[in-house]
Amino acid sequence: MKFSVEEDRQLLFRCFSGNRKATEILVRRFSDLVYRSVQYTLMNKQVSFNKYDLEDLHNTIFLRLFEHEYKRLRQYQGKNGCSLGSWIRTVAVRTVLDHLRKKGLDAMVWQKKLVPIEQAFGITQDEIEPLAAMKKEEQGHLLQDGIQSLSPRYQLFMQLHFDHELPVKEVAEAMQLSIEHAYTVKHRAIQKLKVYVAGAMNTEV
Amino acid sequence: MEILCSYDEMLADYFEGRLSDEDRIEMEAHLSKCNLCRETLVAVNGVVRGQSRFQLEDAPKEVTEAAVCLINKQICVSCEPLIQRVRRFVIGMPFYKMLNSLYTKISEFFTTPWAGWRLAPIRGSERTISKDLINVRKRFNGIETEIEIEKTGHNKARIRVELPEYDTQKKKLRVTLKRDDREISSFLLNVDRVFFEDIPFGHYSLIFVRDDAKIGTYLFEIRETRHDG
Repeated sequence: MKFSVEEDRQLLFRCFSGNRKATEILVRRFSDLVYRSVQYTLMNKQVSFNKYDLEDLHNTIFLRLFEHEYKRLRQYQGKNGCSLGSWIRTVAVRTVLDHLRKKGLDAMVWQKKLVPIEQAFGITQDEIEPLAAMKKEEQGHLLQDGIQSLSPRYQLFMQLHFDHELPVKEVAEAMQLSIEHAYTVKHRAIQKLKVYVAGAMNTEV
Repeated sequence: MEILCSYDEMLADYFEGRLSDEDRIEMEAHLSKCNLCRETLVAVNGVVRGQSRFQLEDAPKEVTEAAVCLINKQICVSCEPLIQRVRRFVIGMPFYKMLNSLYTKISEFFTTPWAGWRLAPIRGSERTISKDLINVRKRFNGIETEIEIEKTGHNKARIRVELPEYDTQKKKLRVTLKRDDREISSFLLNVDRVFFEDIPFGHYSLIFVRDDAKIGTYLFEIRETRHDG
């Protein structure tokens, strides 16, 4: 059952007024959402967990929302029509990621930043000589610098697609782009990178 | 757990396509720089669109109700009478903590391990299924801990360690279960409670460490008891 932003605000207002019933309603209403968000985030990160971990994180998220006289909950405004559920889901996911990061279990730590071979400008040798290895590494650095030089939108696309290894379709969903537009962004970003890297290599002595 | 960014609502608006062009540009600029927000975006995208990939379960009723109780307990603290708030304020003052710490050290020196135990009622009305449960509160260096030891079967027990009062210091508190000098398990108390499961009967100690310094030890024995019918 969906609730309007105004209904969400009313519920929060009653919580802030100390209405215990409203607090219970809020926890029960979003308990499944939080629990499922925790599960998915842990599964997606390939972190092993048991039901006690789920329960702990579930409770921790709600405690964080309500502690210090609802400090976190008061941050919700709904000014662009964001529902309380969407906001709580984002907070839940962020809390789990932060928890994993603090425990050193963030899978991103071990992910290498890969540059696809088609972007590596024709390096196809099976044995890489030292000089070629240096050149490859230099090109990798140049690519990273090149990505930093792109506009934020193109940067974000490249980071989501290459660093986070999301397929173009999922990047399009996350960035609210059509699939055609996403491929256009990818193509243009790669073209800009090629120009950047070629220009940088030509200026070296 | 610290949450470093406060872009939660804007991130949700961005993900669900509600931002103006200007705000969207600002958000994309932030996302290209902030790893945590970017990861959150990826994860939220997965939660919303990728749920079919995994078999997700709804929260069990007892989990939801436990959360309701926890939140109500937390709210009760903020609704308490003024005199109790003043008492809590005084307890939080450094001078009081120092005195209390000194008192705790002296009393622990003279106190036997099992002093201060209060036996919880035996659960269950039938002899064959009743479980023994002990619940005790100990304070180490001003940090209140709740230790519950419950027999869960033949030569098996479960130990729960909980911090009843929210304490920022708890992030650095570690509890280790030892049998003689052998370490059984160790947890960082950065969430409200930890469990040691399937513990065989015997002599144990729970050691509490903060910032690499031991602040307290709790000694106990779990053994078979006779249940009179």
